Amino acid sequence: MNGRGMSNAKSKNSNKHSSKSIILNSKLFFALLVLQLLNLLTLVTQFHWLYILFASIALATQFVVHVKAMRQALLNASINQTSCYYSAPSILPSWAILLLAIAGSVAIAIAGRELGLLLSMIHLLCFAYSLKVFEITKRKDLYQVVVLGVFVATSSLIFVQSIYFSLAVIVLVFANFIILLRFFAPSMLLLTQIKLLIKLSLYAIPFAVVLFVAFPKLSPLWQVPKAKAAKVGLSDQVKIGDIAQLALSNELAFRVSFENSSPAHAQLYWRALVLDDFDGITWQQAAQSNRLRQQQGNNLAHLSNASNVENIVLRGEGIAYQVIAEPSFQSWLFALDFATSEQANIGQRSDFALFYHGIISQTISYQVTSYPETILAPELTPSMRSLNLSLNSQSNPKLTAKAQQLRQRYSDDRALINQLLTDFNQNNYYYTLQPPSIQNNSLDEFYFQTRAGFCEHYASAFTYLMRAAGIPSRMVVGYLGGEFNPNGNYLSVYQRNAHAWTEVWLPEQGWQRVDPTAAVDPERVERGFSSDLMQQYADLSSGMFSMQPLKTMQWYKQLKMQIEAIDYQWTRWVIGYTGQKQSQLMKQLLTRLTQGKVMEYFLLCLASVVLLIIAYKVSAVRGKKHHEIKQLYLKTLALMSQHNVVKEHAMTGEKFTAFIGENRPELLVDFAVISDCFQKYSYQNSSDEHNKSSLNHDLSILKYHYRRLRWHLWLAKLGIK
Amino acid sequence: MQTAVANILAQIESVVIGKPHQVKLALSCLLAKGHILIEDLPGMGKTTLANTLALTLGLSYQRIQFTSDLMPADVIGIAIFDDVTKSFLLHPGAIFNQVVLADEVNRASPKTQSALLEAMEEGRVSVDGVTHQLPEPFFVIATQNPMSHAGTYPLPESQLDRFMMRLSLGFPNIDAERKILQATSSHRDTTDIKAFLTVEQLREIQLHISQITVAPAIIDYVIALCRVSRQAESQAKALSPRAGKALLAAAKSWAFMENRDYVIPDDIQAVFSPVCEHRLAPQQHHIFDEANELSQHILSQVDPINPLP
Repeated sequence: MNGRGMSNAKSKNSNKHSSKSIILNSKLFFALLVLQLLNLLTLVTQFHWLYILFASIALATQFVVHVKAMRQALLNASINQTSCYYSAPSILPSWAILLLAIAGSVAIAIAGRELGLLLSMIHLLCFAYSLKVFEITKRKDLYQVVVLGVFVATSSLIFVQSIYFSLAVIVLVFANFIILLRFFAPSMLLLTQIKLLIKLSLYAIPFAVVLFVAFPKLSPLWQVPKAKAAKVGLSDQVKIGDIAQLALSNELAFRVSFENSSPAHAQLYWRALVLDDFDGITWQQAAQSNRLRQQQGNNLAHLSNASNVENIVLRGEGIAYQVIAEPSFQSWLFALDFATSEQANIGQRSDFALFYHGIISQTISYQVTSYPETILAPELTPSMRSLNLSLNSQSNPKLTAKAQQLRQRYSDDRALINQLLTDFNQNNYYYTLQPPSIQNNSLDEFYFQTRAGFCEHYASAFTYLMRAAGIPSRMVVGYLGGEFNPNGNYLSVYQRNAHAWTEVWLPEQGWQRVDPTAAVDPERVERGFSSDLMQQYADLSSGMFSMQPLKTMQWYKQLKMQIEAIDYQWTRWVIGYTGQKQSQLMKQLLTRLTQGKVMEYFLLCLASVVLLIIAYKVSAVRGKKHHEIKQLYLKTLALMSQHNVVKEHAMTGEKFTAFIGENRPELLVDFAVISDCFQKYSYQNSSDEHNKSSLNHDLSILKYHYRRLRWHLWLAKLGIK
Repeated sequence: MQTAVANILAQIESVVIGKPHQVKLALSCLLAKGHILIEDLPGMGKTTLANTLALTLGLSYQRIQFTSDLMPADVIGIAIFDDVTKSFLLHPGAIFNQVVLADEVNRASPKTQSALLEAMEEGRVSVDGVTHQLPEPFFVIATQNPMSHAGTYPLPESQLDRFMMRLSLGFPNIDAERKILQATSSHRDTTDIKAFLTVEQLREIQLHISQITVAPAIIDYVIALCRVSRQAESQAKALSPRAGKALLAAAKSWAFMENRDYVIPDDIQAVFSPVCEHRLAPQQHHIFDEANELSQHILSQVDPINPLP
C-alpha cells in the first residue's frame, strides 16, 4: 500500500514536472543543435577522437529525435505551418544522464595525464555541453546550454588568435545570443533582433574595453600543449636543401615595426641561431656550446649583463624596434646584430642570439634595440677557437685541398676571403631554388661540379673552406630582408625569407658577417628575390588552383596589404597586450596621476561626473512633479501584492479601491486616502497649483496611512482581527 | 447643466428600454461632437435610439433609408431652375438637418456613401460648384446590419474612421424584454418626447466638455494604448493619432456625464471599446462577444497607473 502511494506521488510529481517543461519552436531546437555543432567545431582540432565520437553520436541522436518530434507536432498542428511548438522529448532518463556524466568525467580524469590540464578541462566543458542538450526541460536549462555554448566557442581562442578566427568566433557568439532573443521575443523579426543585439553589444563595448585594459591578467594555469603542433620554420639542424623547402612557404615568420626609419634591405640579417658543429653532412649547435648556453640560460643574461659582456664593444647608434613573432614552437627569437632587450623573459646567448625562456607557442611580441656597428668578440677564447675550426676534413677532401692551396697563396685572411667571393662571382655559380641532387650531401660535388645551389649550399661550402684554411668561422641561420607594408608601416618576414650565411672571426674585428650568396646573386640580398627567382618560385608554387592571374591585379594586392596591416595592428595591440604590458601601463598611469596636476584634473573630472548625475536626477524629479506621490502609491501596490492583494494589470485606481472595499474592507480607509490623493495629484490638476509645502504635507499624511496599512496587512496575515 | 443631461438620459431610457449604458455612450458621443455608427441586427431598436436622441436634443431631424438605388442627389439635394428668379436654386436634401439618421448605410452604393461621409467630415456640401454650409450642430447617426451581406457595400476603413463610436445594442435582458412586450403600442408615439435642450444650451455643454482637464498621466495612458496596438505582434490595425484624439474627446464627454471636471483612466476604459474597436478590426463584428474584442485585449496590456514605465 505504502509503496503504491509512494509511486503515485512520484508519478504526480513527474506529471507536474512535465507540465512545467518549456515548449519551444521546432526551429529553435534545430538552431540549438546547429549552434552546438558549430561551437564544437571551433575546437575540433583539439579533441580526443573518443570525444568526437561521443559528441557526434549525441548530436545525431538529438537530431533524429527532434525530427521525429517535429513531425509528430506538425501532424497535430494545423496544416499550413512550417514550424511548430513542442516540449523537448526526453531521450535519456535523468539517472542515465547522471551515470553518463560520472563515467565521462572519470574517463576524462584518466585521460587527463595524456591530455594535460588545459585540454582535459576543455574536454570536461564540452562533455557537459554535449550532455546538457539532453535535458532542456526548463527555461533555466536553455540558459545553461546557451552559456555553455558561448564558453565553448570562446575557449577556442586559447588556441588560435588570428583576426579572422576571432571575428568568426564573435559572430558565433552573437548567433548563440540570438537564440535567447528568439526565445524571449519570438514574434520579433530576425532583422530587428539582430539590430537589437548589435545595439546591446555596442553598450557592452565600453565595459569590455575597460575590462581588457584594466582587469588584471592572470598568467594561465595551463601550458598550451606543444606535442601536437608541428615545428614551423627553421630547425636547429640544417642539412643542405632544408631551407629550399622553406623557401616555398608563404607562412609568416615574424613582423617588425621600427621606431624610426628602417635600415636598408641588405642590412636586414635577422639572426636566429648559430650552428658551429659540422659533421660533414649536418650543421648543428655544438654540444659544448649547448652546455655553455644552458649555463647562461641559468644566469639569465639580460641587457644589463649583456651590455657588460666583455666580449662586446658597443658602438654606434641603436635601432629600436618591436618584433611580433608567430608561434614557432621553438625558443629562439629574431633580431638584428647586435641585439639587446630589456624584457625579463628574454635572454642572450654567447653567440649573440636572443632566446625566449620557454616555447613560443603563441604569438609573442618583444622590444629590441640593435647596435649594428658593434664589434662582436674581439677576443676569442681558445675553446671557442678550436670549436670554430674543428672539421671533419675527410668528408670533403677536394675542398680541403682547395683551402690549403688558397692559404698558401694568400697569407692575409681578408684577401683570402675576397678571393673566394670573387670565385663565386666570376665562375659559373648559380643561385637556384631547385638545385640538382647531390650525392651524400657532398660539398665537393656541389663546389666543383653542379655549381648551382641555394644560400645554404654557399654558406656551408664557404664555412667549410674557411675552417679548412684555418680561419674560425660558423654558420648562422635566420632570415634576410622582409616585405615592407606601407599601409601598416611594418615589415613582414615570411618563411621564404629564410637564409643562411657565414660568420668569420678576424683578429681585432671580431665576428664578421660574410654572405657568399651576395657574391653569387647580389639581387637576392639587395632586394629579396630577383625577378628570375620569382618566376621560378611562381612556377614551383602554381598548382591546379593557381591564383596567379588574381595575384597580379593591383586591387588584389592593395586589399591584401590592407588586410595584413589590420591583422598586424590586431596582433600588436590586442594579442600583444600581455600582463606585463598591462602592469607597465598601470604603473605609468598611476605615477602620472600622482604627479600633482594630473591628479587634480582627475578629481575635477570625477566631481563633474558626479555633479552631472545629480543634476540629471534633480531634473528628472522636477520633470515629474508628483513623482513622489506616485512612487508611494506604487510602493503601496507592491506591498499589497506581497500580501496577496494584487491589482490586475489593467485595473484602474478607482476600480481597485472598489475591489478592496468589497474584499478587504479593513484596509479600505487607509488605502482610499492614498489612492484618492494619488488620483487627485495625477489626474485632477495639470497646472501646478499645489505648492511644495502642501505636497510635503500630503506626503507625510500618506506615509502615515501607508504605515497603518502595512500594520493592518501584517495583522491580517497573522490572523488577528 | 448636469440636471438637463440627467433628464435627457432618463427620457431616452424610458424609450430605449434596458440599455442605459449604450444610451449613455451614444449621448456622450453626440456631446463630444462625434458621429455614431450603430451596428446591430434588425429590430433591436437602432432607429428608435437615433430618433429619440434627435428629438430629445431638440434638433431638426430627418431619416434617409439607404437603398442600392439611392443617388447622392437624394442625400445632398439638387439645384433646380426657378422660373421666377431665373436662376438655379438648391432644393436641399435630407442632409440639411442637424441630425441625420442614415438607415442601413451599407446598402447604398459607395458613391452615395461617400457623399454622406464627405459631408460628415467637412461640415458642408457643394452642389454645382456652390458650397453650402450644413446646419450646426450636425450629427450623423448611421445604422448598419452586420448580417445578410448580400447586396451591401461595407464601409471602407477610411470611412469607418469618421465615426467616433460604433455601438451595438444587443439583446435586452428578461426584464427589459418583458417591459418591451408589455408596452401598449408597437411604436411609442414620438410626440410624447420633449426637447430638453435648446441649441444654445447644447453648444454651452459642448464648450464645457472641451474644457475638461486632461492630466499628463491620461495622455500617457492614451499614448500607451495606441502604442500597444502598433506593436508588430498585434493582430489589430494600428490606432492613428486621430483615434487617440477621438478617444480623449469621448473620455472627456464621459467624465462630464459622470459629473467630473477631469478625466480619469476609468473614463478612457469606458469609451475605449466603442471608440476603438471598429478602428482596430474594421472587418470584424464582435457584436455579441465582448470578451474576444481586440480592444479588451489591448486594454489588458496597459497598466493605467503606470502606463509608460
